[in-house]
Amino acid sequence: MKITGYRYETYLMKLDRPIADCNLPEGLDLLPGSVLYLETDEGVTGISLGFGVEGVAALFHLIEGEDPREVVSLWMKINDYIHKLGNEGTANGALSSIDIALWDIKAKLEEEPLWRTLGAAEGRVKAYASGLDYCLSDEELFAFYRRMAERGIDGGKLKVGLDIEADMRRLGIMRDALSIASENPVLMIDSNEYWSPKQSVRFIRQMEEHYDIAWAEEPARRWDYAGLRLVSQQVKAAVATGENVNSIADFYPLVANQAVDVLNVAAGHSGITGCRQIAHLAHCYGLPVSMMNAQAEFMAHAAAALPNHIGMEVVDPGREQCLKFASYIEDGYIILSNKPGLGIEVDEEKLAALQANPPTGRGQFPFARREGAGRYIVPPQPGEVPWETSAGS
Amino acid sequence: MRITDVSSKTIASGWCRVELLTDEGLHGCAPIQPQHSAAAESLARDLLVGQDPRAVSTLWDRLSAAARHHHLAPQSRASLDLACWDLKSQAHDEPLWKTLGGARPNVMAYASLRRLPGGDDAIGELRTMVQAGGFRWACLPLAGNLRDDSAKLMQSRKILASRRGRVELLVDARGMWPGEAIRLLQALEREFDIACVRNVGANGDVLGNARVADSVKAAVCAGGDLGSEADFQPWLHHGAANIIELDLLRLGVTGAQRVAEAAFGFERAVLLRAAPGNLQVHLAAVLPNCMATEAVAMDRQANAIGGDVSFADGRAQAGIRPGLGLHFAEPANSPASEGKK
Repeated sequence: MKITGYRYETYLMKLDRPIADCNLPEGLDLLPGSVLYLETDEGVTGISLGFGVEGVAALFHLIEGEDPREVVSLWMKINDYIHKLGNEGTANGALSSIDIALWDIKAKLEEEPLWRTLGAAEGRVKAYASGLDYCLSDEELFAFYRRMAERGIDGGKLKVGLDIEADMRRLGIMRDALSIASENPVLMIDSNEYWSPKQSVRFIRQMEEHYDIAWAEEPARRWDYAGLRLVSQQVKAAVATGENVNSIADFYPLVANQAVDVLNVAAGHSGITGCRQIAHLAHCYGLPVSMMNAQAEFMAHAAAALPNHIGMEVVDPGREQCLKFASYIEDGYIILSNKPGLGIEVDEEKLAALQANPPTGRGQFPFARREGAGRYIVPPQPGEVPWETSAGS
Repeated sequence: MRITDVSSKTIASGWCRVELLTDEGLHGCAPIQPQHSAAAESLARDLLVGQDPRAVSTLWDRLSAAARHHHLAPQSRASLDLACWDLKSQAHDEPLWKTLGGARPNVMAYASLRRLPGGDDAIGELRTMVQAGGFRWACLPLAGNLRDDSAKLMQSRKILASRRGRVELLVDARGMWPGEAIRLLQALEREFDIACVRNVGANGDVLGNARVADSVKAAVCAGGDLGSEADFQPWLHHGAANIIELDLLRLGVTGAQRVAEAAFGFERAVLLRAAPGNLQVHLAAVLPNCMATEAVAMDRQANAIGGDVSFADGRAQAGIRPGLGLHFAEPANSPASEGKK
């Protein structure tokens, strides 16, 4: 069993609805997509979705001719290889992408779903809703979280940052929408590093006078362990962070300095292998982890086997136009299929159609940090958001 | 695949074999000390029968929760985890290292003397091990006497230097209290370059080990007697262990991998304690921070539980036998003349 080749496809996808955080309040509805295919001499092909394919060419020689079932050793080989170049950016994206495709192959060869290969008893993972909702009107906000609550999801994460009064109003809307799933919905907020640590303390405490907030995500810069710890010590909510770091190495100073209460783990954390390492680090430290969103929720396979996973982010903006999969959400849980590997197939015809006729829309991903971040608030300008601001726009 | 039954049986040399049976005819086996076998059987009947053994991660957490609740020794559930991994690998018809996602392990090993270096026996044992396995690293237990310990370290260094390659000396403080360990080690370090000191102080003495780590040049290694993932948190947090030692007979494969990955995050290397059949070598294949595995002298235990691991040129290499690759000898009075997997 050997890895023989690879190819990748990139495409643009038009979302069913726009998504946004406070750094780009008006949001976007176009996202780049990619698929990496790793091929073997036995006809089994592994895929990974969503990022990092550009760097694969520079790393492929490290895995060519190797046994894909030895995925962790291959992770170690690549990780060692890129240490001089830096395990960030394109290099880390490629490592992540390769690792996921290798795990897909390994599980397919065993003819079992990846969650089983990884040691989970069932392909079932607790979910929470995340609207990436800064660009949704109050009515759309309610509709999104109500739709999630109708599927049993009892937790929601609201994008906040530029208008605290409006944030509090919208927290109430999210809570009301989720209340059909639970009498006490789990409320979370995400300011996406817009606030300084002390701004976070002020604003979160203000919110906590009215709401019980489970966690505040990225209330300081991702590397600012002192700032994150300060927030953690001065508000009731837990501090969650990690979305924008690369690997376990970046989590080390955060955990060792007690700067994080919930670790956000993701496919981009050097793949499933790296993601699992981070979760195990957190586990030995008594900390929970939460899996970031993924197309067709494919990272739920990894989450299912983690001892300290508390809930996976579900965004559901419509990123699966060219994917065939059987996972679904029921009673507040992501239910993965028993199909081998990730259980996801690429609809090649639809992919080709997207490539032939790229959709048009608004915005570009990734987008920049908003003016004032970490220093002062730049409130939503007229026309930037479709909801009533405290200034009356 | 479902687990249908569990049994345990005494084998030669005072060890037991715990065995999980499945509806697909596979048997998963693991070594266990006799005093823990009844607890393991009870845990397995309560929590494993009817379950798919491939769900190793989930089952480990259930076993750990029950073991904690009933105040059971960690060894009871560790052996069941090993047996589940044995089944998972056998189901894939591959050795454990491959099931874990590893390439065939070929890891650094150190010859570990477990007898006091008070007589010539210990040094003779080291000489035999070096001749057979080509070791260049060795761990000697300290007697606590500077003159004797210096003499034995000198002899050991000479034996190890007979092989090509860099020699590393490890020492076992055998529970010596931290103050005494610091005095002795600082004195020894005037003459010897010691890579690592194991087993300082009472079991669980985090602060004492941290003090030693701050006081001597050698790395302090601890953790070999810890039995759950959470036990390692203070050792990592307080910098009390420069190297983490893992015992698969306490942590199983699942717990040991988790702790090793936490140690990796903290930039700590790990040493793997020798287990019957050297089954710990399989795990080394997937640990980016594995420093070395312990190798102990062939003795009656090794004869009773054979493994698929060989030592050459100071390294341990696992074979390709499916599962843990263990071979259990029958008791001397058993009617079976052949060993049984």
